[in-house]
Amino acid sequence: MNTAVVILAAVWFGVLGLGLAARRGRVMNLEQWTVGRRGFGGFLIFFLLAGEIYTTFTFLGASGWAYGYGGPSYYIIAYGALAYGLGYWLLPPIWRFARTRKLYSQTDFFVAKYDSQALGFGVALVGILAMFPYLALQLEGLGLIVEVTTAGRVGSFVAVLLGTLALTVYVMASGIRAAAWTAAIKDLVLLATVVFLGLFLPVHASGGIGPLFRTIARHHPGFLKLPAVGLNPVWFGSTVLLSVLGFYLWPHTFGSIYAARDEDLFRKNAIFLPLYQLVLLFALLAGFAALVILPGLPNHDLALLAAAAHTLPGWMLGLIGGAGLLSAVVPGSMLLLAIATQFARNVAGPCLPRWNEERLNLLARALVPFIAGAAILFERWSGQGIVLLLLLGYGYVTQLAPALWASLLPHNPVPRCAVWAGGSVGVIALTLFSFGGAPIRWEQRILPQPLADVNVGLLAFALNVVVLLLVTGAVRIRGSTGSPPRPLASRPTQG
Amino acid sequence: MALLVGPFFLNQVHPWVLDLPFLLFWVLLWTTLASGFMGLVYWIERGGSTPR
Repeated sequence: MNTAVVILAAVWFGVLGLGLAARRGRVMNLEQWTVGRRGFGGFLIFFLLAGEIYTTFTFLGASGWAYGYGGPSYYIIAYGALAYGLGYWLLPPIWRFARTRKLYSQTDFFVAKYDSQALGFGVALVGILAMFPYLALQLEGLGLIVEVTTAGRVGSFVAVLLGTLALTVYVMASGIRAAAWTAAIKDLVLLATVVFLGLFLPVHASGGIGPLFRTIARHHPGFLKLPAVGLNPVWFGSTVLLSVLGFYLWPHTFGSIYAARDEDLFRKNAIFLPLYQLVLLFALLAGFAALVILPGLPNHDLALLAAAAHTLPGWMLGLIGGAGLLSAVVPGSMLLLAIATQFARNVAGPCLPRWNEERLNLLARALVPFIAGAAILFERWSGQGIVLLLLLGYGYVTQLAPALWASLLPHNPVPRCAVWAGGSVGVIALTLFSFGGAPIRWEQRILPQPLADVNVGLLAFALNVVVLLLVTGAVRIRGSTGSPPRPLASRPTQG
Repeated sequence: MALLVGPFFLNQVHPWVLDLPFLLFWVLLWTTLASGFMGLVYWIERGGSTPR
């Protein structure tokens, strides 16, 4: 058995053991399983919120985009800095409301704000729709990492199955505690790996970072800036904006807000998280170096791993693969947790009015393996690249943004029907833009260049906002703005 | 705005700054400054006192 396989197996068992150990000494009731009894301190919240940065998207997607597209990959650094700034003002009111109402999931927030279980059902569906591509992204990355680092000894599909098994077991057993424990270790390991590769590979390729960029500029003129057509400045600006708007609307990120013990943690983290984002530069550097070391790879997502395999000994590749494995399993577990909670509480829950909180908690845990299985099928079916899967998910979650912002106003003027109308138009438009093919892409026919290259997720969001405003205006003209929000109808906590 | 609109006007490789293409340097510069701005906002909101 080669060294890389042994190291990967050790990481796999380590993750499983740590995840299971996280539950020791605690009763895993609903509040403990989903929001860690709302008692996480600054470090755990930092790592949960920063989890967005260090996923397989960082490891493979960012370097893959630097390898394949060059300048457009800079957007990956840009959006986080803006999103963390937005979080300074956005997260404290969300946290306060969630704590007062004892909310567990993102959907609970919308149900409470708009006093509508039906709207909650819709929000849960949008969230689940968005999280599936993201979960598939983690699984796809996991498969690639293990297959490449073991030189094909462990195939991609087997790796996806084993990785999914590990995260299914520990999410079922320990919930958010397992994710938080492993998130801290994952970030430290991944940080060290990405910084090492970002420094080593440019030196190996061209003798340093400056010479690397000059080599690329000489052989690929224009590659280090944005092209005039396609991934141009319009695409860049609209994609950064879309990612900022959707950043905290991922149900698993939204849920981790509830786990904080103090609202000031978000403000302090907003100061330091943009600096943490800078580490992504090293992932891009590794991708650029791979372009010089191994040009012409058909799958861009493999750039970092292929360059590492080409230049480093087997044991080191095993360590890198182990870090990559963590980068998939930790965010994957948060996603699984969020999907299971939303599905049990907000999709199945309204159909089971006699079930108390703890029975719904058991249902959520029982759903985890089925959701994991469905994500594997999605990953096999979608066949899209890592960054494209992420952008699709961002497009969907961003459709919840207008309803969220309106709900945080002192007097929310937006009625439920306007949220339904705007959100439905946004989701349908994005689905058609993304999967409808050329006949649907009307914006490319009517908008002049370079505007036609606007991110379709932002276009769907704009349609959402227009419809939401029109319906709100129409309802207010008719003199009916819907009933004011009432407290969530709570379920009994004891059977 | 610097990160959203800047690339429309500064989409160029030259001049190289810190051995980086100019557009990449621009993005990194404002990402770093974002952290400083948030620190400043926090300090001002706390009335200029030392953060808790």
